[in-house]
Amino acid sequence: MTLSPTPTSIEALPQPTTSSVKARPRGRNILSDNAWGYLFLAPWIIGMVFFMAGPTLVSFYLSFTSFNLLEPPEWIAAKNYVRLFTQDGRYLNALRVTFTYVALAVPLNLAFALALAMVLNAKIKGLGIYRATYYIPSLLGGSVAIAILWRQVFGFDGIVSQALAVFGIEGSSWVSSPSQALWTLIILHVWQFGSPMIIFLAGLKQIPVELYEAASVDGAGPWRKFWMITVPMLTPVIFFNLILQIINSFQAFTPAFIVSGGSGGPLDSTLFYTLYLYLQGFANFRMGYASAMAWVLLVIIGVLTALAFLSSRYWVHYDDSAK
Amino acid sequence: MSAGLCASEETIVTKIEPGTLSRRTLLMGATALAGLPLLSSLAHGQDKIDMRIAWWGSDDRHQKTLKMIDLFEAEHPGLTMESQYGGLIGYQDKLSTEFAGGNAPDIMQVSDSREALIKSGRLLELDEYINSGELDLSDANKSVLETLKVDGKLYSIPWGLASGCYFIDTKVFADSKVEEPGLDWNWDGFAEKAKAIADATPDGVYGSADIWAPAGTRSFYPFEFFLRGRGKTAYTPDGKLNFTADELTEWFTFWDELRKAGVVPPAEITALETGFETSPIVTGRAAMYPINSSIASSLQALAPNPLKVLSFPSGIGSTALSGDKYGAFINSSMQVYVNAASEHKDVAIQFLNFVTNSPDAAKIHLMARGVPLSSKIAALVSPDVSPIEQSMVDMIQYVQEHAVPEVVSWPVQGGQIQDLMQRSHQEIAFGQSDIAGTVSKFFDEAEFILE
Repeated sequence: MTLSPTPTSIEALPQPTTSSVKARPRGRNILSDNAWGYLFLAPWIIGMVFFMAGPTLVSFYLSFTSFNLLEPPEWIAAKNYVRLFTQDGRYLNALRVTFTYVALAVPLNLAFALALAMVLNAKIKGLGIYRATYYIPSLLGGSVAIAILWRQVFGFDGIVSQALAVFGIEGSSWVSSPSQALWTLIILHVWQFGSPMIIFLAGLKQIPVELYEAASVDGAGPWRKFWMITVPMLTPVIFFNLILQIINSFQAFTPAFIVSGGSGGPLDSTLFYTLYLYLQGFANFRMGYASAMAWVLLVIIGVLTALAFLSSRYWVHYDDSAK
Repeated sequence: MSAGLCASEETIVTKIEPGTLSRRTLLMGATALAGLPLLSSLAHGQDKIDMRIAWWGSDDRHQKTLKMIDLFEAEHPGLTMESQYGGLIGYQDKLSTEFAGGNAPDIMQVSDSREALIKSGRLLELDEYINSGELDLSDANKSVLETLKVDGKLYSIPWGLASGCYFIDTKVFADSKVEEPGLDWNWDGFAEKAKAIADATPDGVYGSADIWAPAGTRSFYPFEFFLRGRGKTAYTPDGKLNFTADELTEWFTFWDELRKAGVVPPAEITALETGFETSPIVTGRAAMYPINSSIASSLQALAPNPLKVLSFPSGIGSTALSGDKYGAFINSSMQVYVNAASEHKDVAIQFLNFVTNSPDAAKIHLMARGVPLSSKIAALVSPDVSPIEQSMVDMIQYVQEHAVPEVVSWPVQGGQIQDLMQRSHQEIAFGQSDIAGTVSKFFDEAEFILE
């Protein structure tokens, strides 16, 4: 292999002619072209094989073992999976908490993002500043600092309980109440509406103005225009955001870990799937069990995504489908 | 410019043709680069040693430990100690992962899983070094060392002696005109004092924190004191639960009644605590707080009023949680261990010896991890300690004199049983389950965990 563009290798470069494929003189050079390609791909391929594919496959094997990190894994067949669904009450609770979270946080987040995108789509002065400002929570929201702040805001002496006290609602601590703690995390998620908002904005800009003009001429009000034009035209974007949000919120970890002090408390009310997985793996040293949980999560997300795709043909309208 | 030089330049140019970087040239270059660190290490002499040490704690402890390590490095030319420190949350997770990855520190504190680490041979057994005199424990309290052994072997030395204790707020006691309890108090006395304070103080101030305070001793450890008071242990030597539903019911009921009477805070307040920094004795919501005594100077630094350290109440002469023996004991939290895979075990042992016996180290460290193991060192630093540390010394002294010797170490899953106990308290406190239901659920879940 040579490292310089020698005359032969220049010849071997694909020429902009129709017969370029057939014109390649010798197989050796095609191979050397590919080698170059692989060389530049190498960082990604090595990363993929060693840090993604490898560990993923190993975790599949580990999910059939009992493994405490310190001693060699011991094969126990499907016992981990059986345990998950038949014996482990905390696991079933974690599933319930996570599904509740996803079912509430995702639609609320999307509705909020769409509402703000509509507002920001209007032609007002200094719009760029507003857009940037509303995007900031998305950059900060997943961080540890915000999760700690959240604990303060919804704590016993926090702003929320003090504000409610003004209206005569008895002060209480949201983060330390089993019935309310999950809501603080849902609100935290809804607050991070920035990236779906930007995507919605882009979608809104694509809708032809003529449609609205025509509707106005026919005497349609804003509400009717929203449901009959905006929503149908936006369904591909809604669908895209929905899929992203479902996958992201099933994997939410940081907010629950920090807000609950790493325990999923109070009373396991914020014990997200990923948090329980982490606790089993890294606090209880049940890596085999945690691996089994990870694979079940993969199946859950896969099935839900597949269902979303299957349902999409009934409610997502692509522009070209009218042709 | 001579013709010769020109000629040689020409030769070089023709030898390395443009773009044909030969494998040999590459290899030579790489070897030369790889050799550089080797050369620089030769220049420093051959005694260059790199080691790592890990601990958890608060800022006060970090600063004192770092200074101590500087001193140790100064005594060992060529030694570089890399420190890895932070808070307790996540500490053990990281350490265990490092052990699994084969890059654990040489010297470390271990928080929750020492049994698992010992069982898998990851921690160095110290008896050989004690016998050879490399590790001098002649001034150490022998009975304490005895309680730390696992299967008759010693794997750690205390970096300071500690026990679960109650910190009391002396100002609230004085303002409420309640007499401070003595070290010989019992559970009846505890309930009485706590109730008197709750009555004398405004609403929102409680007699004591609840026993499941998340950053405190947490409930299982004091429960073990209670069982030991009855001459029992929490676990059998083969790692099964060694107590009955009646005993657990008694324990839950005692705390439930105090909570219902408004003597300890309701669940929402207790659940809010994320660290001892937000504990009710710091925020002024409770006059007594159960936590490990090693935290004394850090806790006093945060608390608004002067504190005092008291041993845990016993069951002796008490009607509630009665027991005829003294159940509290010196615990194994502030222990220092050596990695069995360390390349510099001898230096690590020297460090253990240094923290145990060096007067200079002791003058820096004082009681940042509790009372020094060596009685000689403890006497040496006692003039320098603060009032809170002095009351900690008195408490440790008292526990050492009265404790029942036998300690059965926790099984590998002990930490999970402790978490289960915490959740059980929460279920009762939040009113999600009655005591009878919680107790039977406890035993079901414990069986699943210990299986």
